[in-house]
Amino acid sequence: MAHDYKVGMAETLDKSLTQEAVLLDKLTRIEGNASGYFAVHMHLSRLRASNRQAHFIGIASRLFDNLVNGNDAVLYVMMNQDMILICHDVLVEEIDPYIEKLRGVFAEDPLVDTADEFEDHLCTWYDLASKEDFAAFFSVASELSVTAERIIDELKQKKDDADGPAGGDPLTAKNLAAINQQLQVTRIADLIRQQTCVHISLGQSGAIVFREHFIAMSELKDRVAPGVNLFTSAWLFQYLTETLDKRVLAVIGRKNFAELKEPISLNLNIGTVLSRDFGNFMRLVDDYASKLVVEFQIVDIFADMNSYGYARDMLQSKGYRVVVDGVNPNALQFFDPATLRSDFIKVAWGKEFEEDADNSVRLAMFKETVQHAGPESMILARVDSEKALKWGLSLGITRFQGYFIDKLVNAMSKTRVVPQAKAKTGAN
Amino acid sequence: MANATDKIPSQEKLLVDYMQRLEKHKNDRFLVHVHLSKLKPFNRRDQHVRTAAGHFDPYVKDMSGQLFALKNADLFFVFKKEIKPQVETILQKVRFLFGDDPLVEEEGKDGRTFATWYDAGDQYDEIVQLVHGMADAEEKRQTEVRSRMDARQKLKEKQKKGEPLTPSVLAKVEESLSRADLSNLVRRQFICRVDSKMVPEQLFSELFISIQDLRETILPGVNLVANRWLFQHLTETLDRRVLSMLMKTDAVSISGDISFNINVKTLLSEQFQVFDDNLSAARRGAIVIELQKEDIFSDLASYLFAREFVQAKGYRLCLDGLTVETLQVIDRERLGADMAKLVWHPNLVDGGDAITALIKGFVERDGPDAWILCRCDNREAIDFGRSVGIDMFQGRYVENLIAEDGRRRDLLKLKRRIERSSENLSEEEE
Repeated sequence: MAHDYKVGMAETLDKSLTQEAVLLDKLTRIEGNASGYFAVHMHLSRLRASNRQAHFIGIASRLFDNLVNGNDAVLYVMMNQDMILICHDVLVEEIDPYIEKLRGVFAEDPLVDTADEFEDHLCTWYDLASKEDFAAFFSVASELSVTAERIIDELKQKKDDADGPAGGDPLTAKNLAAINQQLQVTRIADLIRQQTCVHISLGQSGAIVFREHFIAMSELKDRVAPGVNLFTSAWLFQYLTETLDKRVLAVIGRKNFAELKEPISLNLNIGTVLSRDFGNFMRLVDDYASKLVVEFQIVDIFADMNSYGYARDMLQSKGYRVVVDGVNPNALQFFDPATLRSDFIKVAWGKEFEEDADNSVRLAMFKETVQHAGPESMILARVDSEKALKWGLSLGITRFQGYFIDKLVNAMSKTRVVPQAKAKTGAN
Repeated sequence: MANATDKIPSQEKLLVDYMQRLEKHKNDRFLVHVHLSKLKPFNRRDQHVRTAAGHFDPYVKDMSGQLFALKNADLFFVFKKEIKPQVETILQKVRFLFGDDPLVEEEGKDGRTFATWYDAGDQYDEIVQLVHGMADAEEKRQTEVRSRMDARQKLKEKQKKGEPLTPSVLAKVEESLSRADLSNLVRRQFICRVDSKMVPEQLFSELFISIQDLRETILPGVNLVANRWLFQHLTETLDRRVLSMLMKTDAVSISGDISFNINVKTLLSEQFQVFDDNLSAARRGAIVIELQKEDIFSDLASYLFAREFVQAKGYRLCLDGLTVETLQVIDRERLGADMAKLVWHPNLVDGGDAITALIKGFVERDGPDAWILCRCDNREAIDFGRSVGIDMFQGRYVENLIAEDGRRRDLLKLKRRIERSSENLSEEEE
């Protein structure tokens, strides 16, 4: 039933027991006498990926509890996250408040934008008493059922596949100790990967801003915690990164900074930067601080702004540059990144941008944010397509990082990519 | 200038600044550098330096000079040329204070000098270089101290608050939490409106688990808050326990509007759904849910969804833990929280007009029902809050005010009773 929102994907891998199958069954039963019946198809599958999380949908379905309990009405939650409401002899006015509530919980999603008065993107209504509507809805339900089967196949496939970093048992306090221990002794030097951040300006060849050095998490996971999903707890994962920082500093500290051609960037916890390990690291870096960029996560920053301010000032005064990382594009509307006074702010390109690419209002808003924070301080990361790159350029962003950029860097003849000599200093 | 504004500037930095601004007036200024840093350590104690500095007070007050007391105990006094004789007299007095120190006793020997005099007109560049050198040295010292503090602080904390929480200890804590009865660890603190006569009016109360007591109860000798991330994880476990307790709570007899801290993740969990199912619509309106900013930004999509969900149900949301630094970055209004809690700290006052104006602006825009000043330990907190328009307060000092108010009311009642009984008596007598 809709009440138990844990009944979702993983458990229902039997194709004959899906809500889709139950819905089709219901339709077949009422086909003969459909008078008084109607259906509302709520297209939650069209929500942004970040809003389409299973537990969101679960909570959303509960908004209809009172309606379902008090009337001849049933709510079906589809495998693709759509919801179908089938009602018999219920006034439309009685349904409306529930739809409004649904609209409310997803208020931040463009799908429920009510700007377009003529078209409702969230819901489609069908009067099942009308033969035409019934047929149309039946074909919708059939399609949903086909989709469900496909999703189930994919899920089964995923289950059979070797666990990715996001597969397996949850990370808990119980297994954390052992994993942390393992992390302290496992070889990590060969797991360090690089990704280039490039400055692209019109009519010029790209210049390298820095090469981000990071740990390949899925490979690390295979070594230290096979069968555990490291991302189930944001906090416990963050704890592990503190240990990881120390290991990374030890590895990177062995580099010959004098001969380093391009700046390196490292993801570190603020606590690490204020620790003795980093003090030792700075001695190794010596006069080459301009070749080092330190990236902090926004969560870490907000947890202790005071320490962030101290670490930032300390780094910048010594010539290191500071990046604020982990900024969700939508988060830019909720805080002012310019006030963090870092050298760069890294925003991850994602589905949200793609979905907004045609939405002129949102685009204008992002443009304003970029202008306000300063296009020169923005880095668009996770650029995986030309579309992403073009989108960034259109907003005035000129620094990029991601798979697509790696491809570009490789394609460009090595002579054309020159390290960017005049690095922006942190002082202003 | 990325850093000057958000920290209290050191005397060294102020001195550099002052010298730069002095350039226009350099021709009628002298500077004396008193080398107290060269005194023997036992002569260099804070009170000695303070006494020495005190001698300059009259001329600082009448604006004919400016004194800088550096971290290394050296004094810099910049003054108008016309008071040179007076300054020489002061210096004699100061020298006299340290009469038995080799620096004074053997002055002149091995280049020992108690004080160096400069004419800002002729030696301006030399002075600027000197004060820059002092400022750099201080900054370097601070960095060193900070990294030494790292170990020292950790050791001190360990001794005072117990062993830091480790993953294996966390696992044990979580397990014992699932069995422990937490109801006697629940504490309650009131959020009050405080009027100009410091009379508190209780608006609602925050319920929280005393971490101190929790530690004593389940794992004495372990510092639960030593690691931010492990502690944050622990709060998720505590959330669930608090919710289940609140459902039974009519047992704990909680009256009036209440608030409690919770993780966004918990709001979207089954436990919260069950909790919510057990509440009447009216009760939801009497509950304020407090969320931490780092939690909000760790998964913004979840926060936005949870916000709509709980606000639609009638709960109020409060953004907790704002500080002078986060205030400038995070905006309550844009996050759509109903209220915000600002943590009292003297640096709010030190922030000067800019911070005061910022807070005033927020309070004016959002109204008096949106801002709470919490962790008010003293009267200064309330005075500051009132000066920026805040009229809701929480903290130890507020608890004291409530107790005091209670005592006053009791006294008043007693007094009335006495009066009434004496009236009765006199009536009887008549």
